[in-house]
Amino acid sequence: MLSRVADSIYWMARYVERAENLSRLLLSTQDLLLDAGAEGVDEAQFWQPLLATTGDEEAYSKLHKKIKGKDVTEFLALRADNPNSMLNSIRAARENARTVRDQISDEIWESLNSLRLFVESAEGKTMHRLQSAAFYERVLRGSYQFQGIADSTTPRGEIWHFLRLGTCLERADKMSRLLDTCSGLSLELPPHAQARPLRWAALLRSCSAWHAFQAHHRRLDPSKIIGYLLLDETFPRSIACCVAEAQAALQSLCDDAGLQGMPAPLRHVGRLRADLAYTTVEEVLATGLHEYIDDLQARLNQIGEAIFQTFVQHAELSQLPEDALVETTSASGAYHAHADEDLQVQQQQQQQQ
Amino acid sequence: MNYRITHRTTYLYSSQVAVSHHAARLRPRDTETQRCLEFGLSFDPEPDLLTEHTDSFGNKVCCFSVQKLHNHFEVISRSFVSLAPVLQPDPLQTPAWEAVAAMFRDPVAVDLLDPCQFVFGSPLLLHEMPLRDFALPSFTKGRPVLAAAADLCRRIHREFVFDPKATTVSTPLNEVLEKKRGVCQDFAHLAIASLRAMGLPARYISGYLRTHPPAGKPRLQGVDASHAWASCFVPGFGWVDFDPTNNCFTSLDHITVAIGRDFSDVSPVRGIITGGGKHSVGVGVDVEPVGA
Amino acid sequence: MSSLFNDYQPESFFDEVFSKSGKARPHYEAMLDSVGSLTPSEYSARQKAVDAAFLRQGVTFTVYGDDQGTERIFPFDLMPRIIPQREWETVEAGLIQRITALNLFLNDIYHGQKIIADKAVPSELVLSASHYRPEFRGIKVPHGIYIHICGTDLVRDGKGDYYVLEDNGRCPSGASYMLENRNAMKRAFPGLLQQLPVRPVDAYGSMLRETLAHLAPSGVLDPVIVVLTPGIYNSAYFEHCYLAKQMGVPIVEGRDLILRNDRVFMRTTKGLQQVHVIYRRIDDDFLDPLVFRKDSLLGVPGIINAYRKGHVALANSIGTGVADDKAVYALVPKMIKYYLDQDPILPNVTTHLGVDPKECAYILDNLDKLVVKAVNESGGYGMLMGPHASKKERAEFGERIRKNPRNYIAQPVLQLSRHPVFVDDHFEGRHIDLRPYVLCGDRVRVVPGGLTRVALKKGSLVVNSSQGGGSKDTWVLWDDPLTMPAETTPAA
Repeated sequence: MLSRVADSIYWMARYVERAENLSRLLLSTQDLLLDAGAEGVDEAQFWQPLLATTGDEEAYSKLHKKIKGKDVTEFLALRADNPNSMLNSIRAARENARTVRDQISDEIWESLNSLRLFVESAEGKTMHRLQSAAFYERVLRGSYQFQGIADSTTPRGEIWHFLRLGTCLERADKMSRLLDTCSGLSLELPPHAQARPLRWAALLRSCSAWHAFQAHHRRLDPSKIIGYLLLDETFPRSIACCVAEAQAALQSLCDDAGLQGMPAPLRHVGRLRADLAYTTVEEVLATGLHEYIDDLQARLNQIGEAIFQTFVQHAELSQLPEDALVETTSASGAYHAHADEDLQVQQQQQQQQ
Repeated sequence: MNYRITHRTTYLYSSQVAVSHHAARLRPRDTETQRCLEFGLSFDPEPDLLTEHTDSFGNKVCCFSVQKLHNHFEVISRSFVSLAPVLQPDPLQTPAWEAVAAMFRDPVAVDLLDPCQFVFGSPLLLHEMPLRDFALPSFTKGRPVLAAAADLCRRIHREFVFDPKATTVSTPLNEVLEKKRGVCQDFAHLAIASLRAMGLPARYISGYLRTHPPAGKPRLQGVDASHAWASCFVPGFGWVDFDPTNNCFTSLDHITVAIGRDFSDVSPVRGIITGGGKHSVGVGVDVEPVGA
Repeated sequence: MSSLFNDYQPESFFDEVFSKSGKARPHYEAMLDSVGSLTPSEYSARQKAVDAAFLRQGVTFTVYGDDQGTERIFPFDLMPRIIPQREWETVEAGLIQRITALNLFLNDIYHGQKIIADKAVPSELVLSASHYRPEFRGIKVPHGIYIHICGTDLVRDGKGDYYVLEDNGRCPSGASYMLENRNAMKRAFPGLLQQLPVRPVDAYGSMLRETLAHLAPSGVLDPVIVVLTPGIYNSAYFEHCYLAKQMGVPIVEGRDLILRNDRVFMRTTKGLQQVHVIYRRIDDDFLDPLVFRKDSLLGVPGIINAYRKGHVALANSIGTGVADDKAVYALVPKMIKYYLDQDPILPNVTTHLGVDPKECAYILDNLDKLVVKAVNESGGYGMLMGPHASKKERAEFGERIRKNPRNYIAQPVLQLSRHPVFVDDHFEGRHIDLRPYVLCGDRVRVVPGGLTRVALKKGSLVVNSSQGGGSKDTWVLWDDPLTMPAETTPAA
């Protein structure tokens, strides 16, 4: 498989997951607001962590002075000038799919194309304005459809493994950011069994973990929640589970490529998985949740870099020492929102008679 | 006249380059009055691949690639060239320019087909740049073609100022015409485009010019120049080279390296790199006369 | 006959479906029976279904200029254009003759140039052609073939005679629409396609692959073939992917390929894989920054070296643009005479060359009666429709011609043939042309039919997609179903 194709498939999966995460977050925050509305809470308190999760606080503050629900949702969902918006993520996913159209099934392409047609349509924009929940649910369903079609139409080879890698790493990254937004919260057990600490409840809801968690634990014990979302290998959205699946995908890819020894990405992911497997939530909290997550994110980035170096760049640089950073003038990888203009112009100039 | 020539091209990159490919036209050509007796290229770092071929204009091209990380690249050519005096026809005895232009209009005689390809536009000198107005004063009715070319040469030398800061490798010709400043590449292009506008074939020559140190001073090394000039066709005789930058026909001071339609056909070193960040190029030429 | 054709008027044009008397031509009878049985809303519903399917599948092309490149579906009219076999036989023979002469010409131009030395064609036209590549002279290409895939545009005049309008030997496109149109017809009129002996076109993918494989360096038994695309922003990107998929070969961009030891390799997740044949949809100038444009971001540095050494083959070869020059087009009958000692089976349209002073004067005097074209533009740009242009437009164009006469040719306005096209709720006549695809490999093959392009605007003669054109499926009917050649892809 072409290195560039691998990169595009990986990013296609990441962008879809990114859009899905965002829609889930927006949905749960809205639910939370509705629940909290009766208790008279300042809405900025709910939207601000969201902006922190996506890392867009600074970008948002350039456009709006105050944090108001309508502005935040519009910013996160539909703003074309927000590179991380749902709109741009879906566009990027679809463009990456277009780049590799010959490799993916027609159904995958059509599902992404339809999703993109929807979010860009007037119908979509109206829906977001009047019934934003319906809009987010549509996006969510679009992502589920993509995942379902990918699962049932993709042969279990390189393409499949890169798809899973993209999804799992993005999922782990977003979960880590989500957890980070709760790192300042009190970890005290709620006063009685029926009390519902809103933030922790919202956290579980926004990763669809509410029911799964409740099946194991009666009370919303914050440290148990952190433990579940960070270290539990059974829940599909937990970081440990994502890392485990990433490891499996990487193992298959490395075997496929006939890479000798223990290639860098495999080493990094293996070590991370082992750490997560043998850590307890008490140890995490002793280090400090925020510090722990900072380190975790750095390690996830390291895995992403190593994947790029090993599978996308490696054909070019056969003797590249691991830590060297080499810039290539022609980006060898996938489509990201602000592509090279000169490249675009030259592509368009080619006369197709 | 014999020369020992050293031509050094050095590239420096601000960050590592992963792969670079180059095509070099550095080997002086064999012509009727010139023989290249020795030639060698040395590199730092050594390229992983080195091949040679002859291009469609008869220039020897050396292609090489460096396929390991590097942050600088240097290629040095060393040649030993022997020149015989150039025989020039008397400009006033050459055919009238109109008659020559007519010979290059269809139907063209078989033996003129080779020079004929130099009548038309070329990558840097597109047909859409008519320099006819500029050229016309030199091409009076019935004037012998070589005399007209010499006059053109004189006018360029007189009306234009040699100024290395005024233009770059990619400055378009109409800007040069406007500013009236440029370097040898620009003046050669000007002469060539003018001749072509009058329907006459013209070639671009890249090479070296031996510089003469001021009286009493020793010869400085490495300050000689890569030079460019033009060539005009005289039926019955062949190509005659002339140098608009120095307002003269070529002499034993001019060493020919490559011939083409314009600069894009004869670039001494042309390369593509992957990576590199910002890069700078340094060129040093040394033309040393040898023997008597 | 349903109300669909109630007010249909062939007018003074040659109509593909109806003869002058108003009767349907025999090869359209069955089709009209089928269409005629539908009500306008039924027909309209089928047309809309096909449009929706195209949009969903992304059978689009990009139009530059407005909205940073909107993707549009290539408008498709459901009623097919039908050609009987005996008519097709002549077309096919003419096309084979033409591509043979063109390839002999190109081989000659890039080697000995005998045709010029023998004064059979003027040197100026050939040597000053803007796509003539003297850098490429002397290089041997596999089997001496330069144009492997050619899209020759044909038109019919008021009498129904076929003429060649132009040859496209660089990057002809539209084959993907030809294939998708047939698929759409299969969904819209399944019964009719089973009933009539329509020659299939779905073997195009494998025919193309065979043509390309023929170019592989000798000794390579299982050549690696790739499609080289400029990238996703190019107007025909959909087609590049589609054809790659049809052939079962990878699609690559310049940055996926690198040179090692004068051989071309693909960068894959498992290392470098050598490539033997490249179907390139990039202009010559952008292919190799070491030889042509050095600012090209789309090319592969050093690829021409590999080509020169015979380690890789390119389809179409470098320098074929000489034949696309509309002034050189006028010389093709001379080429056919010179190389094959034959008269052209398919005639050229009368062409006046600006480069000739007498013809140039004629053109300038008759701008109101002629179609004037710049020799190297495509897509319907750089063209003056004399009779439809304003005085000012003609004056401006005249200036351009005076400044650079070699760059222009003029042809009389042809009364192109028309075909019924569905507009709102009924049929109206619209002008069409035909682009068959000619593949030149171990032998010359012409795909039966091709793309019929339609000028959708009423009265317009411009069929190009970028200027409001659309297409139809083209059916070549084999006379006897029992002896129809098996052109379907074998079930593999």
